[in-house]
Amino acid sequence: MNKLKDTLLKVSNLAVSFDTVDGPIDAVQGINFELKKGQTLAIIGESGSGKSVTASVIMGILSCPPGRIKSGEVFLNNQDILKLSIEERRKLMGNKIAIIFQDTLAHLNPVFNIGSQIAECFQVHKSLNKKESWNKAVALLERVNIPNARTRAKDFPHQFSGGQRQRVMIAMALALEPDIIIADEPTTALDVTIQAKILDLLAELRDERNMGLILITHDLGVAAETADNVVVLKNGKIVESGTLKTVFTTPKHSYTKQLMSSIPGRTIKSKKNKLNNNSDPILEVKNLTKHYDTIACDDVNFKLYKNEILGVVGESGSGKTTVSNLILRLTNPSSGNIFYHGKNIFDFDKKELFSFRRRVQVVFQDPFASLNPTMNVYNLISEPWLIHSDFLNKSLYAKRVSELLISVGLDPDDASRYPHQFSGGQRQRIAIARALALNPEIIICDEAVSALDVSIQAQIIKLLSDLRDKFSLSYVFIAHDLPVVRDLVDRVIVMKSGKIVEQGFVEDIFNHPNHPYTQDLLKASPSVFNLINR
Amino acid sequence: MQKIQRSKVSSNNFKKILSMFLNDKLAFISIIFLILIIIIAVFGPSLTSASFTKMNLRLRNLAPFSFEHDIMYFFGADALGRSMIARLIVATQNTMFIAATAVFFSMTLGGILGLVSGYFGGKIGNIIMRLADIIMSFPSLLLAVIVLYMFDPSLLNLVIVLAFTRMPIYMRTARAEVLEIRERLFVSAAISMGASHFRIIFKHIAPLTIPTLITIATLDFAFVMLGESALSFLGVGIQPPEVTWGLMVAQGRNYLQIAWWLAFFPGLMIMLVALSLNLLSSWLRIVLDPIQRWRLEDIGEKNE
Amino acid sequence: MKKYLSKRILSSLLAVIGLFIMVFFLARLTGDPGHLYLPIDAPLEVRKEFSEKHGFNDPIYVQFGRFVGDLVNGDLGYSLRKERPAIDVVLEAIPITLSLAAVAMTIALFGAIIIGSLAAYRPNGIFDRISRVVSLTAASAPDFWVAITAILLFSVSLRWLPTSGMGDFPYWIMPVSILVIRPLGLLVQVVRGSMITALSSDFVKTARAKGVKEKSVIFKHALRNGLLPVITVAGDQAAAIANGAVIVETIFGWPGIGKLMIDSILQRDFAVVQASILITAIVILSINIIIDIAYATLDPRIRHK
Repeated sequence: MNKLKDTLLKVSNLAVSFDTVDGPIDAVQGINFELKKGQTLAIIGESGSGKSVTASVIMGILSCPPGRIKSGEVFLNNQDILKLSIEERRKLMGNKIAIIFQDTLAHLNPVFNIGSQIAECFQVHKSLNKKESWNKAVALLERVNIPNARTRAKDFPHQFSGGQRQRVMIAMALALEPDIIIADEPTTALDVTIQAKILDLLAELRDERNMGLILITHDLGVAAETADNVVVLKNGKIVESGTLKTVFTTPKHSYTKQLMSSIPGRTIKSKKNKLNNNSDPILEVKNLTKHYDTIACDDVNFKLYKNEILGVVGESGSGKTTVSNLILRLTNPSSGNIFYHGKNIFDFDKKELFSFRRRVQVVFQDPFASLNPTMNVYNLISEPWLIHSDFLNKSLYAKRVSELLISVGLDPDDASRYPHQFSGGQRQRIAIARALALNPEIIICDEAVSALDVSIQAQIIKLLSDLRDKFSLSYVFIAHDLPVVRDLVDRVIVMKSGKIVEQGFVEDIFNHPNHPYTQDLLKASPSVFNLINR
Repeated sequence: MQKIQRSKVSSNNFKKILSMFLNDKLAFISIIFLILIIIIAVFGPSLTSASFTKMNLRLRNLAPFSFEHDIMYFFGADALGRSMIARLIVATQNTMFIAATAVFFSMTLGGILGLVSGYFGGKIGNIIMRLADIIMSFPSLLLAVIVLYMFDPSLLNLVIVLAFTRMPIYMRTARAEVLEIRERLFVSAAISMGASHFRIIFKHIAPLTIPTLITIATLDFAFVMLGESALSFLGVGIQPPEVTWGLMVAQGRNYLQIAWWLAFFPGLMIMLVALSLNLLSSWLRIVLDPIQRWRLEDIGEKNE
Repeated sequence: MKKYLSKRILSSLLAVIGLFIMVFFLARLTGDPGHLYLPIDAPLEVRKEFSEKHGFNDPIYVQFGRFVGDLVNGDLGYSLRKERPAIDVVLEAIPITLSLAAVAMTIALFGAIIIGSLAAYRPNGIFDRISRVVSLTAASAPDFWVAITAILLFSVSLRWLPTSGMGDFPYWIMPVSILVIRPLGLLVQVVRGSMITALSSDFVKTARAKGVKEKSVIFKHALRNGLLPVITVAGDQAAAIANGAVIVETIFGWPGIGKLMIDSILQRDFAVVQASILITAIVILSINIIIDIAYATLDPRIRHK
């Protein structure tokens, strides 16, 4: 009896499909789960797994059409809310059950100040007047630790940082003390240190108000940090569910096993011996400084040796992308030099720059944006040869494109397709094939795996590592969190506010971080292994 | 699974666009009508040149829809007894030619200026845009009237004025698109590959702006046509004995009470062609926009 | 914001000056500017005398200096036809056009917001389809043709409305309606598009998830955002409506700036043409600045730039 009372939300046999030009596509196929008071349920899945669709159904914000709920019930306090009238349903939303979204800039109305957006909850559901609801909104902002809440309530969403906006979102969800909060990827767009704080806040509020929390995430680390129970979704079906510990320590389904094994940073091999640091560096960055409105990059020094992978890690605003743009000579420094085989790249004449462009290639973060959507794969990969026309005879293009596609794990038939016909991971493979086209010496990977799902991340990292051995490449691998670089890189540079705070061999950094910031970063990275130690 | 979905998409690509076209019946009718108009504009006048100037004083202001006379007089005859059909056909050619030339020049020149000023930015870009602002801020019709008053209202001047007053639209659009596209990663990728400015502008950026420019051009064709007819109506456009639809309305205005058809049919032609162009343009906006079109195709993959 | 606005005003001023310089040189480009002022059949002596009197034989920089000097003193030349300063003639005509345009623009804007929002609420619904065809037809209608057809129908045949002239309410019906048609057709399209975007935005999802009533979702959350692009387009319509005013005033015989300009051109009263250009440009640029301010008040993201 008691057990029944504790159940806040029960989803049973839910199935949703989308009508498309090619006929209906099943996004969610008969899923079941339960949420209890004071508990956190993590719904884990990669993009396209149907996890956000499920949240939309519960919140009644699924767009129909093209969405269609084919079957299922959603019980909130033993009442099937899918059977309620629109008006009855509306009264529950925000009141008994609330949601926190990922992209806060898009999800907050840009033209209203945040105070009034929170206050609106009280006006809608409690018919409070303007002043009362405003004061309540300010109190909520204080609760979620927004400094100077009374004045900041008059500010607009774009005036807040990403982390603060997420706090505003939480305050809004919290307004009417709902029984359930659904958090849809609440920390995905945030830096790791801020991510940890938001997750702590959510857990704290859950305990304080004895709410149920549904955490939707693709990040196993995030789930490991906060969840009691987990549900693993793949292609709209639940492949595994249970307590956090059982699922994470003894995964049964092959997909869960694969997910667990693809988490970056399982082992650290000693890589010190592999390197021959006695030779001259191929790239040497000396006293590099770049000012925009603020200092983006301040007195940065490092070296890159042949066949080495150098990781550059830092949160947004740390200056890591500025460093990458400077190495690529996409922008000029305020002061300092970068020596490529002993010659300053900023003193290059046109001819030298052109041959430098052949030897140094780049793979960007967003694999969709980095490929011209109007060009097919063949044209994308062969473009470097058209620019450097002495590199390859035109009659050999087709053969070489096929070879490159095979070496990055794609099919030679893919050459005639366009970027939008590929998944994110496949697009990144195309970008890598393009980077390899000119037999480069150095590849700059600017957050090259950050936008990808974990299992895809692992595949791309493996590919990069294999290619290094095969073509004796050197990489500068830029990332915003540490676990990703652990498997791949030989040495790590940790950056903060434009400065290098620590650099060294990867195992030294991970095992004995010296700088407090590095220690924070390691502590904050939600890690599955913390769970096992927990 | 990924693969199956992919091949399905690519083979259906053409069919999908075709079915999108057939689904929008209005756009379908529009394009048929426009093709008909183009055929008339190209071939019509050479077939009907004889009846264009042939006066038949007995048929002065002949009312339309009568079967008593030659089929060429089905839409009636003007004050000099000339066949309305023949005059409409010749006017079609003139109207279409003026609008097409003006649109072509304003799109090409405006597009290139916008591309270059958007890509290089800086002072030149700013000056070009200020010029566009000046032209935009003044009513194009008045500007055209003034210029045509200072210079002779010849066919060439008319085309130049129309092209000139519509150019800012293309400049602004092309520039705005370039400013956005320039920041995309594939441009950075091309630069770090060593691509030249020429290659980046015309190979990477221009193809992405063309769909938008063409959509605007379709809409603008209607604008230019309406502008030309307004100028001709005011008497500073095309001069008799040449004839356009706008001029025909102006000439018919004097006979409004005794022969309404003289002004009515050419005006109706203007409206129908403009409407078809509008319908076509609003359809093009969906189909040619890569973002929207791919959104349609990608529904299956991005079903979140 | 202040910086943005002052920059905007400055560039508008530059635009006015640019336009004026353009007119000055274009007039001189045609050869003998006297040609622009005098009747085509004016005898040679008259032309010579006229040119000397007005200094058209001086070097062009002297003429330009004098032109700028006069401009600074508010002297925009003398109307040879009306035998009064050109500026007075123009300032008399401006309020007529402004009131006509203001009434038309207000009707077009409100009509478009209502029709466009309703169409956007159910895209491809029956209302949306009908409003699409009607609004596109309106945007395609040649106004001069609609005007004369309307006169034929309502004034000549049915005798409901006066054919032309200014006066009380019945005199306004046809000119205003004809002036409204094209901007209304265009604006309906814009409102529909931006409302569809606004209604499918993420913040609308948030509002619905908060339990906000549907009416409030549409008219508070979506409309406030959906209006932003409409305001920009409405600014461009200021110039378009002036185009329409030329036609409407000419056909209905309203002594506004449009008719004044056409008449002055036909009567070769170039001083008035020049003065009209300057004043029209100033009015339109001021309207654009007001629209910028309106935009910034509605969009905090611009305000804080």
